[in-house]
Amino acid sequence: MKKQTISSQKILIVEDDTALNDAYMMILSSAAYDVQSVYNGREALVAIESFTPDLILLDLRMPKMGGLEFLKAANMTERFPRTKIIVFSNYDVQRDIDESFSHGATKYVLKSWASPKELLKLVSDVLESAA
Amino acid sequence: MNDFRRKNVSIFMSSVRLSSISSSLLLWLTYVSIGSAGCEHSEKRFIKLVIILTVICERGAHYKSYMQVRNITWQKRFWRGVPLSLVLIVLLVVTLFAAYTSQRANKTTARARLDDYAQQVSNELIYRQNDDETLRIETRFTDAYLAVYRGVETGSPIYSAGTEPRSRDVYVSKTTILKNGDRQWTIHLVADSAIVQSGLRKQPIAILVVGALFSVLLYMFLVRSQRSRSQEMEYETKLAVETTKEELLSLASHQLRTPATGVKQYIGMLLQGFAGDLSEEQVSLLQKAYDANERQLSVINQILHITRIENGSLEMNSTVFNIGMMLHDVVDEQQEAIETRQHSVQVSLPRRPVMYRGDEFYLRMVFENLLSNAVKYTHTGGHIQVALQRRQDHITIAVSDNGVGMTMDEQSRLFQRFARIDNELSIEAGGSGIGLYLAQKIVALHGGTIEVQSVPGDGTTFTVILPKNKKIHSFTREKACIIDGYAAGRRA
Repeated sequence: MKKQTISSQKILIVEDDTALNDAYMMILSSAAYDVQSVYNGREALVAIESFTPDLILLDLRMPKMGGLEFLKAANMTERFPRTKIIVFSNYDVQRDIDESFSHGATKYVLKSWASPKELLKLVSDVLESAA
Repeated sequence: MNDFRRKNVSIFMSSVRLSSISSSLLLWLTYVSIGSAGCEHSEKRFIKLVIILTVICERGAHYKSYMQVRNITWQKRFWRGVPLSLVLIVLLVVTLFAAYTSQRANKTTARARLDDYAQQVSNELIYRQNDDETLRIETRFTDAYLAVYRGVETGSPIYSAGTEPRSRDVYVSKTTILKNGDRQWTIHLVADSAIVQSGLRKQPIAILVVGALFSVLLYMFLVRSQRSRSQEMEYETKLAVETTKEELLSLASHQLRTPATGVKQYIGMLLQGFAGDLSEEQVSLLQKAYDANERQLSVINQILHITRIENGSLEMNSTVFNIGMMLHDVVDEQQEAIETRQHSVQVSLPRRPVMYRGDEFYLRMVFENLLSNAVKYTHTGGHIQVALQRRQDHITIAVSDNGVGMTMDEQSRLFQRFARIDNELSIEAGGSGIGLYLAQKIVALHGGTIEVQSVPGDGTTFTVILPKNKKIHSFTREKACIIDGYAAGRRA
């Protein structure tokens, strides 16, 4: 039954580092999520319109448009209140953390923290809390 | 940063120059108003001296703060200022000489004019009565030309031997020698004492007092405002340095973490079977690579924490939590390492749960470090004890082992940054020499201390003493981040 709910859930990866983007894609796809990946905030703005993800794995510092700019531009809290956002950054500056939460982030996680197993657990925990 | 500093220094210097010019101007205006109200020459000279001294002091104060802002020492400033000072001294000497010469010339001219005048008009201005050697005054003339002689009766002696007025009564005092044929008179033009007392002198004294008071207040205000500005500048510069340091460090740690994160994901995927099953040997090798990468990430985090603690920018989250439960969690997390080394770990807690207010995240880091050290520095099959005790105004957490122990000398170096203790297990244990330094700083931020008791070969006991109900000022905003891998965000 769990598998069924998972399989219908959509995750958008927004990450500019190709190696990490590929890794997250492989890890999350392995758990049968419907995964799409983009490389910056601008691409993410386009993707959310058609893909309407249940969860966004969002990096902060990216070329063209960063994660915080994306959150502001997409107006996530108003337009996509059901979409969960995990900010996934290797920066741990308090200002970024505060701003992420004020623009609708569900969690702020240090990228280097999560092993593949932990990433899957984190994603499933956040998605389950959506209910 | 340099641009920021330079910009601020230049703003500061403009404000110093402006205030200096305005204060000097006001002081001189005060002086002029006193002078024009009719002070005596000696008083004017005194006021001039006070003003010059005040301006010198003020300039000194400006330069002191200027040098503080630019980090220039007096010696440096002195040698840098020698050529300019020489030029200024030469200019000053030339000016003073010119002023002296012109004053002398003016005096000579004035005296000559008076002599000449006295010769020409002596019959009208002053006359000699009979054979009396006293010169008497003719008021018809003096009324017209010397207002101060008003009220003096015609025939009054200008000067009589033995009745010379006291010098402090002299308001207008001019002396000249009058020759008439073979006779010679010394003429003192002296104001009437009634006129002197009629209030003319009260005005300059009032102005002198008010003006001086005003100048002193103005001076104090300016010096004070400049001092506070200078302190503000110092603070701003310090803040800018720290912010830059913090940003640079965040950037550096980000750049270091990102490739390590990639390594972690890919090795993690291999270990977790993303590329098919692995042989035991492959798993063992990959696990070593994974662990090494984890150590690197942990060092990056520790360096970041240390820099933040030293900068005073570490932000803590003060919550009430069950410290016994946290100790159990810490032991559980290290169960794998404990089992690998075949240690037995005993956790003893008071019967009632101990609730403590502090930063759970950072305190957990402290006990993780203490336990991890105990595990690493105890030979296989050792015994480790974690004991929590509640006291009246504090709690103690003791982590004891029967490991390699330390000498007194080693104990004294233990909490120094990057300190490493060499013993038979240290190479195997690895470590960066940051953990205990960081632990001590974190405990200190909670108002507590870490004590150590150790006997070489017998074992070590680290005791963390944390005061209860201590208000901790460094706890600021809520930290809502997962660092180093503790379960779940701190804000859901």
